[in-house]
Amino acid sequence: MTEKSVCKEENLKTLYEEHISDVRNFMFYKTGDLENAEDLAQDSFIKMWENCGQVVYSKAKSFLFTVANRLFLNSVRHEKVKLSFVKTNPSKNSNETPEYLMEENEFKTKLEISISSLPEKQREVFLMNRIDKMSYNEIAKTLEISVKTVEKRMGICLKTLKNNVEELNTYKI
Amino acid sequence: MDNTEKEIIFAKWLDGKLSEKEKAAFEASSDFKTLTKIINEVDTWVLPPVALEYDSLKHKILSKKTEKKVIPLYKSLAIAASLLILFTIGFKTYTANFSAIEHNTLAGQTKTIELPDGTKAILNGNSFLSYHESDWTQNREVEVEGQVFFDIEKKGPFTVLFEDGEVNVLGTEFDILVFKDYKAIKCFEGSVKVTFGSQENIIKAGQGIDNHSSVYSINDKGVSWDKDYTKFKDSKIIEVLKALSLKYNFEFDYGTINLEKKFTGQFINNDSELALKMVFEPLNIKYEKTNNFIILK
Repeated sequence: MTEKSVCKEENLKTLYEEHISDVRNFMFYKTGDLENAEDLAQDSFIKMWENCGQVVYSKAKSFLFTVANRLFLNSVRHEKVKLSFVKTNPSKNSNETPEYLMEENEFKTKLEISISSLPEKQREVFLMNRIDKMSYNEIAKTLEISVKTVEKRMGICLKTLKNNVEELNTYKI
Repeated sequence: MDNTEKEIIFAKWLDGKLSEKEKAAFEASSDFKTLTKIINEVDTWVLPPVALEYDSLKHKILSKKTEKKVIPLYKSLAIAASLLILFTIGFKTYTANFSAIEHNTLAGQTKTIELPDGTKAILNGNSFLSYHESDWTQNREVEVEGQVFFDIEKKGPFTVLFEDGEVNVLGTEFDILVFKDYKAIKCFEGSVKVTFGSQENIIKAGQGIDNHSSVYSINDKGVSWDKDYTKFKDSKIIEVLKALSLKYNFEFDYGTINLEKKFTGQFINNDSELALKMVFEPLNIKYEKTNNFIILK
C-alpha cells in the first residue's frame, strides 16, 4: 500500500483545506496576531510543498506544526500576547439583565487575559483542546510529545486558571 | 491531596478519564464548580475563519518559483546548552508507567547511563531518572529527581520533566539537581526554556534561575560533583546544602542563615564530617549535628 504523495497539487489542496485552520490557530495561540498567524501558517505549507518528497502524507499535520513552530521561533517576537476570541451562541436565557451580560463579558475578558499570560506551551495545548477540539491524544501526536506531557501541561494550566478566577471572586465588591 | 495530584485530576476530568469514584469526589469539590464555569465559557469561543484561501497559497508558490529561491527546510535551531538544574524532589510525582525504565542511586553513589539515542546521563547520589524506551525516538522525555548531568545528542527536542515544571532544550549538555523545597536551573552554554508552574523563562549561558528569585548570573561551569570533590563558584548556599544532602543524606534546619549568600569552595565527597567543615568554616556558620540531622546557627 503506497501513501498519497504530498507532491501532487490536488493532495496539497486537500491538506490545506483540512489543516490550515488548525495551523493558523496554533500560530495565533503563540503570537496573538491573526494576520501574522495566517502568514506563518501559509508559509508552513510552502515549506512543505518545497520539501514534499520528504513528507509522509499521513504525518503531514505534525510536519506542518513542526515547521510552523520553527518559523515562529525564527520570527521577531517575544512580545506579550493578547488573545481575544469571538463568543458564539450567547445563552438564550430570558432573564438576561444588562448587569448579567456585563458580568459575563467581564468574565470573558478576565479569562482571556489569564489565558494569554499562561506559559506558551500550556496555553497552546489548552486552546488546541478547547478551541480546536483536539483530544489529548491528537495533540500529543501533532506536537510529537507524549500524552503524559499534554496531561501535565493541561493540569498545571487548569490550576492556574482556577486560581486566577478564584482571586477574581475574592476581590469582587 | 497535593498540588500535582490535583492537577492530574483536573486534566483527567477534562479528558473524561476519571474513574466513577474519582469523578464523584471531584464533582463535590469547589474546584469543580470553578473549572466548569471556566470551561463552559471557553467552549463558547471561536476564531474567525481563515481569510487566506488555497488560491493565495498557489499564487505564492508560483511567484516563488520564478524567483528561484531555495529555502532550507530547517534552519539550524540547534542551541548549544549546558545547564545545571537544581530543584525539589517532592513527592513521587508522576504515575509510573509500565514500560518506564527507572534508575536510582543511593546517597554518595554516582551512576552513568546511556539513553537509547546515545545521550549520556550521570546521576549524582539520591537521584532518580526515568524514561520510556518504547516511544523514545518520538519523544525524548525524561523525568528526574536529585541531580543529573546530561550530554544530549543533537537530535531535536529534549524535555526534562520535574515536579511542577519542565525544561526544554534542543541540544547538548546540561546538569540537573532535584530537591524538595528548592528548584533551580543553571545554564552554561546556549539557552534553555524553563517552566516552573505558570512561569516560563528562557535563560542563557551564564544565567541561572530558581523558584525563589528571577534570573541571575552564575560563575560556575558545568558538572562539578562527579570526582572526589563537589565544587562551587559563587553558588547560593542553598545549592551547597542540597549538594551535601545528595552526597550524605543530610537534612538541614536552615535556622536564620541567608540561603541566598554566595559560596566559593568545595567539599570532599567521601567524608561527611570533613565535608561539613569545608563548607561551614569558611562561611563562619556554626552547626549542630545529630545523626543526619543538622541544625544551622
